[in-house]
Formats: sequence, structure tokens, C-alpha cells
Amino acid sequence: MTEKLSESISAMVDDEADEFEVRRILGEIAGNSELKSTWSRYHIISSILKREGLSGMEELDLEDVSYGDIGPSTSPKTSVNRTLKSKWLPGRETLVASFAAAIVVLVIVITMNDEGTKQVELTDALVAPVSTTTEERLPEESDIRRAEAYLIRHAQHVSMNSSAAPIPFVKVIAHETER
Amino acid sequence: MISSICRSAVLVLVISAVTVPGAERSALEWLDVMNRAFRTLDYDGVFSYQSGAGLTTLRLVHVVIDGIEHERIIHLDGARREFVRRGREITRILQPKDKILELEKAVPPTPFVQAFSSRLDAIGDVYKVELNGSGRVAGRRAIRLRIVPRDEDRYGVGIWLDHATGLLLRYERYDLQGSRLEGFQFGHLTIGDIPRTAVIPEEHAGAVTTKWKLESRGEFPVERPMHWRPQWVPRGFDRYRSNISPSMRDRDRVDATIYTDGVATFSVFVQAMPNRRVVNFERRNGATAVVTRTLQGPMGKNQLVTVVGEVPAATARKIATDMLYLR
Repeated sequence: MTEKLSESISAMVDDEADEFEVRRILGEIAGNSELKSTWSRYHIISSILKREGLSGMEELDLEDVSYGDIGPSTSPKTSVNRTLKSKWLPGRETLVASFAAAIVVLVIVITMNDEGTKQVELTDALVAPVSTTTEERLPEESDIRRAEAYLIRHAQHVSMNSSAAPIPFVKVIAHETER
Repeated sequence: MISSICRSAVLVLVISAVTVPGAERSALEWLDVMNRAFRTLDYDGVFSYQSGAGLTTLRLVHVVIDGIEHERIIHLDGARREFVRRGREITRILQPKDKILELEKAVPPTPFVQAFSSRLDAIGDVYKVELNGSGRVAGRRAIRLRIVPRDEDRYGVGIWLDHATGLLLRYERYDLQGSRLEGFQFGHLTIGDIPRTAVIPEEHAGAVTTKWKLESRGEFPVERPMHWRPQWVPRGFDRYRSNISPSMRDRDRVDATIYTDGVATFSVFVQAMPNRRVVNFERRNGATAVVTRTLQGPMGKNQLVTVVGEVPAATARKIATDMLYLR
């Protein structure tokens, strides 16, 4: 990666790049995973410095962008261009927000095109960019309750299946017997 | 047709292979006897069920009266719970604050005691079924069987059957290293001559009694189309049913699919993630693994994929992370 491109990404994240430069950078990132990683890193640093954190990311209307601009037949380049032209560049939002949304679209498409790249990794990068140790976090109460509910439903499935366990019924009613 | 012939050939080979000279029945024949014994015999016994660190003791009564099955199952420790089935009528008797009351339709719409497997012909493809000597359980002479997996995507099972009747006396499921994950065992058992009064529920003050008929439970709705499916499942696991039970709550629409190899079963649940939090969750409860992964679906929306089943965690993980979305 050239120093100049790195500086351009930094400028884009810092709200200092013009439209032409943004397009050029996005085009470069589309074909270079290292640049994609650099952008992600810069954006995280920028978010932390600006105290945006995750809540700031959540406030962006990313879902609408993704919903409207990504379809099965949409090419990466088309998605980015349409996003930039039609929705995000008119200046209704801050440029950081606009870039974040545009990059979200871009990264989704890039990742979908990367062979062997798991979508779950993409999700990690987009939704929780500062959390690289997701699996080490303590589960929330809702996660535990969801797992318990699924355990019960699975036991029901086994029971209806008429196979696989001699007394699947017991698995259901033995749930949380201690109190 | 060819696969059917092959499967039949495999079955014949398996039965031949597991037949022990001098024994009255082959291993698969014993399993077949066991399946019928569950539903046709009268018995009254106390058994323990162990799953992981959990241990609970229950009494099970099964009596056939005028051709109609009557069953009663009672918790003997922990929360006081009792379930009585007469034909297709079920009565549930619980204490007022029992947590199981919160679980919608938490009781399977099936007989309490189930056949071990309805797919004996397919087991031989992925398990080795063999006789394993004899033993003694609940003071009764027992025939031992073992079901050994042919790969690392499923667990092994040990079975003790009553020599006289074929009734299941003890059952254990083992991990790949041979450690016991869950088990069931009668400690006391009477077979035959069970009085009819044994299936009448006890009265206890303040209990919450719920009655229903199996037909009205609506637990077998028409299958809804599935949008998600695993790209990979272990060999021998076939899709059994999809979306057969209603969602836990109306606002949480959940796609559910069941896969079974005749011995083990796993369920795949997919639901939309209401917020942007990434959930990577893993638990094991005895032999049952729970693995949740957050995947990105169409339109960039996060989906929670949860695999629950009596399979190794590594297998559940592999299934959960390799899903395919179908439009």
C-alpha cells in the first residue's frame, strides 16, 4: 500500500477528502483487502477519538442503504456509485457518516465476492468493529434465555421425531427442576 | 430404487454382522423389541436421569387399559411436577410458580415414552450396532448393546435391555473419548400386574392443573417454506421436518429445521436479530450442544443461527457457520 493512499484514507475518515477523491479511494479499496483493513482501523481510531464508539455507528441508517442498494444482481461498483450519488453525498449528513454508510455497502459486496470469506466475519467487522474478542465476552441474560428456549424446543423436536432418545419427554420436564 | 436396494443390503449385512452365535436375537432385533415394549407393557418404576452435572429422579407408570395407553410421570425431587396421559388426553399438574409454566407449550405432544429409533434400517450406515454382553440393572438380568459412531460427528450410545421383555433399563450417551454425557437408569422397576390406580394423579393443594387433548395442540402445522439451510450436515443426517412448531412469541418468527440420523438429532433455528449486537454463544448441556452465530443475511440484516443437538460442539459449530440463504 502506498503512503499516499494511506493518507487519502486518513483524509476521507477525517472528513477532509472531496467527492472525486472519495470515489477513487473506494475504487482502490474494492480491490484490495489490505486497504479495506486500513480503512477499518482508521475508522475505529477516528470513532474512538470522536467518542462515537458503537452507539455512533448504530445511529447511522445503514440498514436503509443496504436494503435499497444491494441486490443479487448489483455489482460492487454500481452499488457504491448509486449510494454516493443518490443518497449520501447531498450533504444532509456529516461526511463521516456518509463514508461509513458507503463503506458498509462496499465492504458487504467486497466480502460477498471474496471466496472463502465467512459472512460472520463481515458482520463482526461492520457491527462490532472494536470487538475482536466477541466470543470471550460474558453472554447476556437474553442469550442464556434464548438458548434455554431453544433447548426446550429441540427436546420437543426430538420427541415429535419419535427417535433418537428413549425418553425425550424427560429432557423437557426435567428443565430447571431445582428451586 | 438402487439406494433402497443398497440400504437393504447394508441392513442385511449389519444384522448378519451383529448376530452373535448362540444369542436369541441380533442387536437390531433387540432394538425392535425395545421399541414395542415401551408401548405395550405395563410397568411402574423409578429412574434417574443425568445430564451433565444435573441429576433428577422420576417415577414412571405405564398401563394399557382396554387398549388405551395410560402414562403417569412424577418428579420425585426438585419442583413438584406431574404429567398424566390417557390416550390423547394430557393433564399437567404443577406448582403455581413453576418456571415451566412460562415456557409456552413446553410439553411435547407425544407419549411420554418414545421408541428409541424409527429408522433402524438407516443406522448401520453411520453406526456400528453390536451386542455387548450382559449385565444387571434394577435387579433384573440385562442384555447390553452398544451403538458406535463411524465418524466424529456423532456420539456413541450404550443400552441395557431387560432380558425377559426387552424394556429399556439403562441408557448412556458417550462423547468421542468415551466419557458419559447423559444417562438414564431404572433403580427400581416392576413389570406386569400394575394396579389401575397407579395412573391416577395425586391431589395436592394449590397446584395448577392444565388439561388438553393432543389433537387440539396444533403442534403439527403445515410446514412453512424455509429460507435458510445448512450448506453442510454430517453424513447420514436427513432433514426430518421444517417449521413444525410455532414461534416462541409472535414477534419472534423463527425458522426451525430438524435433522436426524436415526440416533442423534439436531435442530437449526434461524431468527432475525432485532438489534446490531453480534452474538457468538456456545454452551453444552450434557450431550446437547448449543451454538449461536450471527450471520449476515440478505439486505445486510443480521440473522441469529442457532444449532442445538446431541452432536459434538465442533460439528454444531461447523453447521452454524456454513448456512445458505434461499430466496
